[in-house]
Amino acid sequence: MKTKYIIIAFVVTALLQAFAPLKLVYDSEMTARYGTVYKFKTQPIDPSDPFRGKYVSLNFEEDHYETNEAGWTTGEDIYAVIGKDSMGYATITKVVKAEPAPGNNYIKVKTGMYYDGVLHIDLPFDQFYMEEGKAQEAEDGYREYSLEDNAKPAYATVAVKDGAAVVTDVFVDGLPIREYVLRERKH
Amino acid sequence: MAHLLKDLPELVAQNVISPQTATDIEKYYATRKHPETNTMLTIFSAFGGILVGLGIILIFAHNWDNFSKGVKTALAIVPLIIFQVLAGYTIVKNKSSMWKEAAATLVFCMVGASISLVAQVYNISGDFPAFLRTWILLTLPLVYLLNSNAVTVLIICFSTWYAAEAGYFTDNRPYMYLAFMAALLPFYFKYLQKDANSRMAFILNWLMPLSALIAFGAFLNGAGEFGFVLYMAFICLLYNLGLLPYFSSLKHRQTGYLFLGELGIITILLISSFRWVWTEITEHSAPAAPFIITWVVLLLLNAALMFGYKSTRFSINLKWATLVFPLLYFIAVANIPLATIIANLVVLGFGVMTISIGINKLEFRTLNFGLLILAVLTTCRFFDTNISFVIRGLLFLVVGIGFFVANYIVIKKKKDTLNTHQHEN
Repeated sequence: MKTKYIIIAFVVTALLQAFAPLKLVYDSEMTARYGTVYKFKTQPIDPSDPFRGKYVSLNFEEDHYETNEAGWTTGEDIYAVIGKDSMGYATITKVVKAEPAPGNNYIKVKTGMYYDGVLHIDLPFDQFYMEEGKAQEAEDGYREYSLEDNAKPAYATVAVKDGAAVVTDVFVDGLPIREYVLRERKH
Repeated sequence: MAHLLKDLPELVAQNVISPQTATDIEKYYATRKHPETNTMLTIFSAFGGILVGLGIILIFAHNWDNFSKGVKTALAIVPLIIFQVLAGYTIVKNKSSMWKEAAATLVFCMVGASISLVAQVYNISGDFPAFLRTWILLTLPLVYLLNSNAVTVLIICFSTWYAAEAGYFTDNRPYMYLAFMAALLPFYFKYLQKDANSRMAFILNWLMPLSALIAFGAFLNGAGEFGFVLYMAFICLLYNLGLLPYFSSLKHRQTGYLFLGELGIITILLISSFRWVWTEITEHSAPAAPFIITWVVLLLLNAALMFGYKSTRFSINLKWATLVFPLLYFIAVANIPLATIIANLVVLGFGVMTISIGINKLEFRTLNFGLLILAVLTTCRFFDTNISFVIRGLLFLVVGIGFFVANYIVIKKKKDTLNTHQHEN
C-alpha cells in the first residue's frame, strides 16, 4: 500500500474514532437540554466500574410492568411509555414493541425476565457517576437517612427525549446528592 | 544460543564440525540477533503504550467534581486526539515498528477511554457488549495502518470478550465476532506465509484457536445438549486445521490447534463415556434446523480437511475422532447403552494404542500419556455407582500395576538398545 493511501485511511479512521465520543456528547446534550424531566424513585447503592470510576448504582422502584401479554424474550428492545403519578413521580403506563411517535414520553428499554404476569424492565440509566470517595459517602449517608422516620424518597431526575434518556441528577432529602454528601460531611 | 556459541571452539577442536561450519554458525546468529532485540523493544513499547493508556483512564476515572461538564468532556477527548496525531506522525515519517506499536496501543486505549469517560460525564449506563463492539470496530484499522501486532492481540482478546458478553446467557448471537476475526485473517495469513516461525505467528497460532473455542459456545444459545455434539465437531475442526501442511514445519506444541484439539477430543471422549451424557443429549426433542445445518457444515469442513490435504503425521493421531463422534451420536439416538459402551471401548482402545506406541518408540511421554488416559477413564468409572466395588477396585489395581510394568519395560528396552549400540560400536 502506498503511504498516501495509508495516510488517507488513517485520517478517516481517526475522524471516526473522534466522532464516536462526540456523537455521544451531542446526543446526551440534546436529550438533557430539550427532553422532558421525570423523577424516578430510587435507592442508590455504590459500586465501581474499571473504566469509568465510581458510581452510585440506581435501583428504581419502577422497573417492572404488570401485563398478561406473553411472548417476551429476555434482552429484547421494547419501549416503555412514561407517565406521572399523583405525587409527580414517573410511572410506566404501558410497554410496546413498536416505537411510538416521536415525543418526550417514552424510553427505549430492554426486557428482563417475564414471570407470573410481571415483565421486568432494564432501564438504560442505572448509574450515576460521582467523584471517587463521594460515591461511598453518598451510599452510607443515604442508608442512614432512609432509616429516619420522615425520610423523603430519593429520586433521580431523568431527561427523556425520543426514546433516549439521560440521568441529570440524583436527589436525597430534596438535595442533589453531591450537595447532600457535602452537607453530611459538615455534620 | 549463547551456550552453543561457547561450545563452538570445543566442537572444532574435537573435529565434530569444521572451522568453516563454526564461522557459518556464528555469522547466522550474528544476523539473527538484531531482529530479536528489536522484537523485545517492540513488545516493551506496546506494553508501555497499554500502561500509559490505562494510567490515563484511571486518573480521569477519579471524576473531579470541580470540573465542569465541558472540561470533563474535553479531558476525555483531547488525549485521543493527541495520540492520534502521534500515530499519524509515525505513519508520515515511517517510523520504526517500535514507535508504531506504541502509538497504535495508545490510540487503542484512548478510543475506549474517551467513550467511557463521555459515558461517565453523561451517566450513560449503555450496553457493555455494544461498547466493546464500537471500540473494536473503531480500532481494527490500526492493525493494518500501523501494522500493529499488539493491537492485533488486543483485538482478538477484546473480540472474544465481546462474544462472551454478547452471546453467553442471552438470546443474542455475537455475529460481529465473526466479522472481526475475518478482518484479522489477512494479517494472520501473512505471518503464516512469510514468518511462520516468528514469535507473533506462535502467539497467533495459539490465540486464534483459543478465542474460537471460547466464542463458539456464545453462538449455541438454544442448542441445549446438542451443543455438546456441535462442540465435538468444532474441536475436531481445530485439530484437523492443525494438521494442515501450513503448520507442518512447526513443532507439535507450537500451534494451539493441535494442542487444544487433542486436549478437547480426549476430554470429550472421556465425558462421552458417561451414560447420563448421552441420555441428556438424546432425551430432548430434535435440535432446531440452524444447529443441524451448522453441524453438517462443520462435518463437511472436517471431511474436506481430512481428505483434501495430506496431513502431517504424528505418532498419536486423533483424526479418526472426527468420524467417531457423529457415529456415537447416531448410535446413541438408537441405543444409549450401546453408545456408552462403544465410547468406553474407544477410550480404552486409544489408551492401549498410545501405550503400545510409547513402548515401541521408547517414548516415556507417549507411554505415560496413554496410561494417564486409562487412569482417568478408570476414575470416571469410579463414579458410576452401578459397577461393583470389587470390579472398580480391580480396575484400579490393573491400571496401577500397568504404570509400573509399562514404565519398567520401556526403561529396560532403552537400556538394552543402548547396550546393543555400544556393543556394535
